[in-house]
Amino acid sequence: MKKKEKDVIASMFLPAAVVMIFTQMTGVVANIIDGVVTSRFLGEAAYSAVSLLAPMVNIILLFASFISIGGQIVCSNKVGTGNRDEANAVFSFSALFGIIIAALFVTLCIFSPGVLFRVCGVSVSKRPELYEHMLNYLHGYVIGIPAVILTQVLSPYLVMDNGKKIVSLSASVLCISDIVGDFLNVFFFSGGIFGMGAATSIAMWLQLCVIMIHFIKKGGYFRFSLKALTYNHFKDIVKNGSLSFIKRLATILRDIGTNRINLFIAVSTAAVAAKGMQSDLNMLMFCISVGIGRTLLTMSSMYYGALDKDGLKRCFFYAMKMCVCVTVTVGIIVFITAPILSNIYTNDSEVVELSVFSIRCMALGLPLDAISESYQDYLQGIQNRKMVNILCFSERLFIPVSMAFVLGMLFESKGIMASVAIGKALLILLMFIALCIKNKGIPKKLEDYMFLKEDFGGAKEDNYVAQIADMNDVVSESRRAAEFCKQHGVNKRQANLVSLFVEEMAGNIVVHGVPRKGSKVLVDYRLYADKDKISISLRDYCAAFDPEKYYELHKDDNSNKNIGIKAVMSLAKDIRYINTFNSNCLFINIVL
Amino acid sequence: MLNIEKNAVADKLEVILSGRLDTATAPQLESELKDALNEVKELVFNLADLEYISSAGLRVLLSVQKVMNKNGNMVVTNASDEVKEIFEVTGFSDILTIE
Repeated sequence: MKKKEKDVIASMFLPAAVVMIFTQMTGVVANIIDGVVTSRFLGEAAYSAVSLLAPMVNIILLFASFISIGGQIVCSNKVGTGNRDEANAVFSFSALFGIIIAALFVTLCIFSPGVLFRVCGVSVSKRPELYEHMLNYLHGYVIGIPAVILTQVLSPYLVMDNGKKIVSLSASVLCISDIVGDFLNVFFFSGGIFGMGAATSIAMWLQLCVIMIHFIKKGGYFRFSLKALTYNHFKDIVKNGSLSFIKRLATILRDIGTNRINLFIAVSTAAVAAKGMQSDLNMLMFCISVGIGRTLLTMSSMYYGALDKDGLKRCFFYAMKMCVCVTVTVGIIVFITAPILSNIYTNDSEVVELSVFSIRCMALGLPLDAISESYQDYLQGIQNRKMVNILCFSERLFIPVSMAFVLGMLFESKGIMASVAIGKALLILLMFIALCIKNKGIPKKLEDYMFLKEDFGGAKEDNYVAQIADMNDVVSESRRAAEFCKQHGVNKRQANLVSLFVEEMAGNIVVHGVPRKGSKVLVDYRLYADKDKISISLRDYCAAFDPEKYYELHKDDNSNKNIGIKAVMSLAKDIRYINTFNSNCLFINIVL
Repeated sequence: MLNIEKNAVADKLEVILSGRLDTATAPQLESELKDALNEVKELVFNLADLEYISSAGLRVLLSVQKVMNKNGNMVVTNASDEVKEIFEVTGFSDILTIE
């Protein structure tokens, strides 16, 4: 493959990942500002109480994530083959499910908060000074729970549906309104810890309102419709979402476990506060891993659904490269600026000393965390549930809790803080050993890391991939397509049709496609043969153009125009178009 | 690749095409016929050995048809089933005289 061939993947991946990272970060920044304002103006006990509620927030996000990711994977599979109605049904079901779960949580929070607090590892008798703060915060936070869940569920669909700008805008609205709300609460309304929770809730609702603009206005791809939903979709959503459920559950159990270990070993509220600061910053830095990972999850699902091994490889490689480059850079910056970051929270020298140490441990573990997270997201995208479960329980539960316990017993609070980085290193090592065992030697090729079945995407000779940049490429690929068909025993008529479809549709893109600013027209082209069909897929990153709609508008025009599209639309019995990640994707199947 | 063979007898010109008439070879055909139609009253395209035609080739045939509508007549003969199918779905079977 020529060097330029990475462009389409990068053009799709990078903007989506940047938006996802930005969205995650603005949420976390708002969270951190909450923590800083609470710590500075409402006191250490109030801040510790909010930190201890992290498992509860995670439980809510657990269910949101279950629906969101399950739906995202199934939807991406459908998008990967241009199956619009089914993609829409999956989206609609996800939204409905989110509303139901939100209602259940609000009921639980109002009528049985004690249950949630016990899950967080806090009881009234052991920490009475924290219990009241937690209750007050919950009263403010509960109003925003439906918005929290629906935002999590709907945001990935927005990115798929070319709504990146609205996602970014909504995230900015959340961040700004939350920060403004926090300061208004402290300096104007004196609402205390309840006011902090309420400010967060109002900000979440404002974010959701912005997101809903996309789904209400015309032109979007996803619309509420349960028309094509079947039981199999529901099963697939649950199956794929369960992996996220397990991931989050493992995280919650880890937080509860480390909370208990920390409370057991820590001798002061300062140690709890320092760990809380590490968690806050870890959440912020983790956004990079999540942003890249979630984008990789969606795109790998899409390519996996299309049985496109080459696309999957390029996507995987690009994501891993991005992980390493970004997180190493950020890790270095965080390590160096750890004292400054600690002083933002507090001037207490005991807390600062502990938090500098904890932040530096977190910075060292950042690249390992990103690789691990993205790898799990990739495996989830290709529906390798067994590996995801093994990695997730190791990474999120067994290793962190056991490391926290062992190192905590040996080195007290500092040991617990160091376990963040040491645990990640151990996990990466264990993953590598597992890959060596699987490959019966050191994995050397990219495919050795990808856990794909031998026959995934068909044999090498059944696949042809190329990139098309000009009309010379169009003509040569059209001719090659005819040869490819002949090699696969396809009859003359069908070979001619494949050749024609490639020439006409790729030619249209090259001649008429409007490239994005600063880029050239480039078409990702793939030809795939199995015993039943020949599949053509063409992906470009030009301005949106739906050939099906165009044909419908112009089919009765002067017969001398649009000859190429007329020929293709009349002769292709199975043709699908979708615009996703700001790219035009055209799929044509010729049944043999 | 496109092979173009021309047989001229008086004011009749037979053009035998073999190979592929696509985006790359259509300009070659256009160029070959540009000055060859001046004295022609009857033009016959023999497509027996033409394996493939795309919209670029159809446009050349259309432009030649327009010229021959003024000068005389044009006929397309011996087109394969695959080529005839393309004429059919694009509406060219109504524009060209196909035998």
